[in-house]
Amino acid sequence: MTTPPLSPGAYAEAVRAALADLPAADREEMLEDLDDHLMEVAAEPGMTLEDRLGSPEAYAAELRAAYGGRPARPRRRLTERTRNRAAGLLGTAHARLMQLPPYRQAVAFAPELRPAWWVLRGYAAALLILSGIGPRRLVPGDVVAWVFTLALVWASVWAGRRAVPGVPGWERALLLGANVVAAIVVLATMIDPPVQSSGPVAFDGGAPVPYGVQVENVAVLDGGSVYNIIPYDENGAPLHDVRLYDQDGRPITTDPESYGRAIAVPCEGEPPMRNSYPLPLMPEGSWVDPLPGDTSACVPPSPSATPSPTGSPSAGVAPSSPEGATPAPAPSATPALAPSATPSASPTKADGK
Amino acid sequence: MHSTVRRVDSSQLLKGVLDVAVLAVLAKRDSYGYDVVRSLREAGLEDVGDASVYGTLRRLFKAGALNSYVVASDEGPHRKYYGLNDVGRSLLTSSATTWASFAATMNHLLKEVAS
Repeated sequence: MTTPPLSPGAYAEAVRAALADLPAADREEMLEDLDDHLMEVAAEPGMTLEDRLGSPEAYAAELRAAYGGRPARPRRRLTERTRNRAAGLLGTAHARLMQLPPYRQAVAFAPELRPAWWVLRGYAAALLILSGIGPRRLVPGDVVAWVFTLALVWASVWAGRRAVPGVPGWERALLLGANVVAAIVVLATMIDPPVQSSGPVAFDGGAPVPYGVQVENVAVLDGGSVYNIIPYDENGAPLHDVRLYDQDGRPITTDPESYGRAIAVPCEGEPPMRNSYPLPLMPEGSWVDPLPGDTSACVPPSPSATPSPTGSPSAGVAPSSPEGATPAPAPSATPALAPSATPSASPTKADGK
Repeated sequence: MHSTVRRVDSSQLLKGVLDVAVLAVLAKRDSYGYDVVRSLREAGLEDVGDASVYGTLRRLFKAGALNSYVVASDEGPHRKYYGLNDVGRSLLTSSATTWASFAATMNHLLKEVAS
């Protein structure tokens, strides 16, 4: 080396830099006599510091070994410094916040909440993965999904219980990543919960949906509660048997049972279609007690429900017939004038899908 | 550990006994760092490194085996002196006993070889 000899100050600086990975307290303790030493050596005539002591790095390594410190770890200086600075900022913020009682209390009980977080973390991870397969949900949809979710919760708790003391770096990084993702999932779900209504809706008490199509439930529409739809045509005349489907051809249904109403089921013929509006509803209180196994839970076509037939053929005005052998009213009129709400039994399925 | 055969050199041996050597120097009289380095060299430990001695002094001091004080001097810089305290003295005694028995064992082992 033909570089100019280092001054004691520069030499000391280089030694300190070579020990920069040590905690400041350790380093100062170790270097307590460095300046004195270098002054002594520099006072001797004839030799430079480096001739006499070797390079600053060699001096630092020897000092470290003799002091009993850890050997220098090869580490990138800049990341180290950045990390130290970040840790310092966090530490300062933490110290400031510790003056606030709520923060102090939160810090005190936060460790007790860790197991709860482990469970939530596993649950969130399961929901995230399941939503990649099927629709977004808050609750697993079926038994398989539940088993999968429970397995992930178990794994999360296992990892949490195990990760407390020193873990290899990559594993900790993995765990940190999982935590961050889980936190994002939980927060995102809280902000924008998946709508529960799109899914197969099972009706208890009502007629089963007679086809295996997903049902669009509009029980909650526009924030209000809708359990029936009364359509009119452009002239204001009420329409009957209007079947509603969504853009995918799925029947649009309501959930009148949730509002204390029930769909009146005629005794004969097929049950009304759930998406045929207006629904023939009646208060659930007037429901004929359905006996188990009994099909009498139906509405007999009551005369009152029958719209009064306009111009019903009275027996008296029977067309002139030679023999008045006609029995009372012509029965043929009745079925045709069945309650309009009852959908026609003909299977004119609007081929949804 | 290295599996290579290693020739014994004194700098290797020194590592194990530098503590007791420094304690022995300070047992004679209190001394400052550079003076300890010189005393060890004069005693025959020419391979001892400055930084090793300074590091050993700081470690012994931190471990509570030494006391230290600064002496003002008229002609040169102020110097930090180190001296043994009770802990240091008992450490020296026990270390000296260990060394003596170890050295005796080694001498006995090697007495036919070295001649």
